[in-house]
Formats: sequence, C-alpha cells, structure tokens
Amino acid sequence: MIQVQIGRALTRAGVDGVRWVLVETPAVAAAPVAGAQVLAMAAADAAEAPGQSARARLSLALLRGLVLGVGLALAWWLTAGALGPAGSGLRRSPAPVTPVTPAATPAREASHPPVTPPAEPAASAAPLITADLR
Amino acid sequence: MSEPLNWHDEADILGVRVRAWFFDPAEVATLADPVAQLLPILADAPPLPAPLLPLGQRSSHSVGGLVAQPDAVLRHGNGLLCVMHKSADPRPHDRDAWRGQLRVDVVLQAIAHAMAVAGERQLPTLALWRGANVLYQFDPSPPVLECLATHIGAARHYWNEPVSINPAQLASFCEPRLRSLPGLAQGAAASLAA
Repeated sequence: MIQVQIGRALTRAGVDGVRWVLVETPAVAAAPVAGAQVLAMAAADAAEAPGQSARARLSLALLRGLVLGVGLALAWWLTAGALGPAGSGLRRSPAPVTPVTPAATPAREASHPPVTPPAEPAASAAPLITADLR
Repeated sequence: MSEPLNWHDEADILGVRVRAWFFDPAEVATLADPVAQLLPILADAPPLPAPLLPLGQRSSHSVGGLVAQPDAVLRHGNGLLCVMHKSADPRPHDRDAWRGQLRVDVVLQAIAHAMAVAGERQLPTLALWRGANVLYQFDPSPPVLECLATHIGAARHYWNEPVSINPAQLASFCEPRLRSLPGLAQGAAASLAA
C-alpha cells in the first residue's frame, strides 16, 4: 500500500491541510509469486491427502461396524424380550376354550368317531360351564 | 500556516470542493514570469512555486498502476502543485455559470493526476486546473479519494490494460460510481441547478 496525500487548500506559503488515502500496489509482478505459493500449498495438501483419506476411511468403517453391532444387539434384545429366550420356540397363545355341550358332543361322535379319548381339560371345563349356566 | 487566498467563488461538485479564481487573460499575459502566468493567484506573493521541470515539459508519475503526465508540477512550500492547463477548454468560463461549465471528468482527472504525483513523490499535492480565464483548486472529499484509489485495479480490467491506466480512464470509470452515491449525487445536482 502506498500513502497518497492530497492537499486541501492553497496558501501563499504552501499547501494547507492534507487528506490521505492508501493506494494498493499493482499486483502484476506479485501475482505469479502468489500463484506459485498457492500452487505449492495445494501440492502440499495433495501430498498429505492419501494418508488422511486412509485414516478417514478406517474411522468411517469402524464407526459403521459399531453402529451395525449396536443395531443388531438392540434388535436381538427386543426380540428376546418379546418372544422369549432363543431356542425355546415361539410362545403360542393358549387355544380358545370352546364350550362343549352334551348335545354337541354326540353329533361329532356320530360323524367322526374319536380315535383317542377326549382330553382332560375339555372334560374338566364342561362341568364348569354348565355350572355357570345353571 | 498562512493567510488563505481570496477565491472568488466555491462550490461542491460531486464531492469535490471547488474554489475558483477568475482573472483577465490579457492582463495575465503581460506578467513576466511564466509561473506567475500559470498561477496568477500567486503572482503578487513571492516566492513563486518552483517547477520540477521547465514549464512545457511533462514528467511521468505513477502510483499503483496509475500513470499520469500532468502539464506542470511545481514545488510550493511543504508540498507540490499539480497543474493541468493544456487540456483546458479554451473558452472562458463565466463567473456566474462556471458550475455548469466545469466538467466533472476534468475535475476527477486533475485529482487523479495529483494522486499519482503525490504517491510517487510522497508529498502533499494540490490538484489545480487552469483555464483561459479561471484557476480552479480541487479539494476532494474522502469518498472521492477512496473511489479513485480503490478502483485503479478494476478500471485496469475494465479498460483491458494489464499494466497501467491514465487519469482519464480512471476518471471515466469512477464518475458513474460517484454519481450513484446518494450524498454526492445530490451535491452534483445542486451545483448544476445553481
């Protein structure tokens, strides 16, 4: 920057009062040097880039693996909480208890003769229902 | 510093305080000293300013890519006087209508010449313009100086000049920018109306 002083008033003895302003030096000669410096800095950055990118890729892979592992563990925990421990099979909901009435039972026996004797829960449930109906 | 000179009139033109001193060309032509003829306002107050080069020879001055060849540069006390007169309008300026006759680009060119001289010589420099019957002194406001100083590079690109530009190119580049500044434009309109 070059300082420029412009006089404000003409007197018999000289110049009275000054306004000054800064003028930028021409960048014609300085431009190639600046450009070379920028290129040199860019080259230095490029030289450091492979190492930096390898580290970044490794960090990214580790982060991805961590997130995936946490997600899988969370999914397993939720599944185990909802369905029971692994290997025990799916927990089935109890079968609906159908009321067995004395009138209905002979009709089934007539069309399809039972191969096995009736199950205990059904036999024990019938008196209870009939007891309620009574 | 010294008693001020008795300027006949003054006005603000586009951010530049312009002081005018009118004279009779025939009377001034009778003065013996060419410096007194050039600057008749100082004719009765010796010592007269001393030209850096003999009058009639032009020297080149440059600052920041602005190259100027003023008509005359004179040493005056603690500073320099940068005088333009060869490009002056040969027609006399009217004492009551000079505000409309003085062109803004001429004002800016004179200031740009003074900036180049001041930057190269590192001395306070006054911008003066001598016409057929009038001597003008220009006192630019800070916005005008800043505009001229900060647009040298842009003007170089505009005029496709890779190395340097002259004051006329810088003045024509900066004049519309100065006219777009609200305060300065109002001052210019007022001076034209006067």
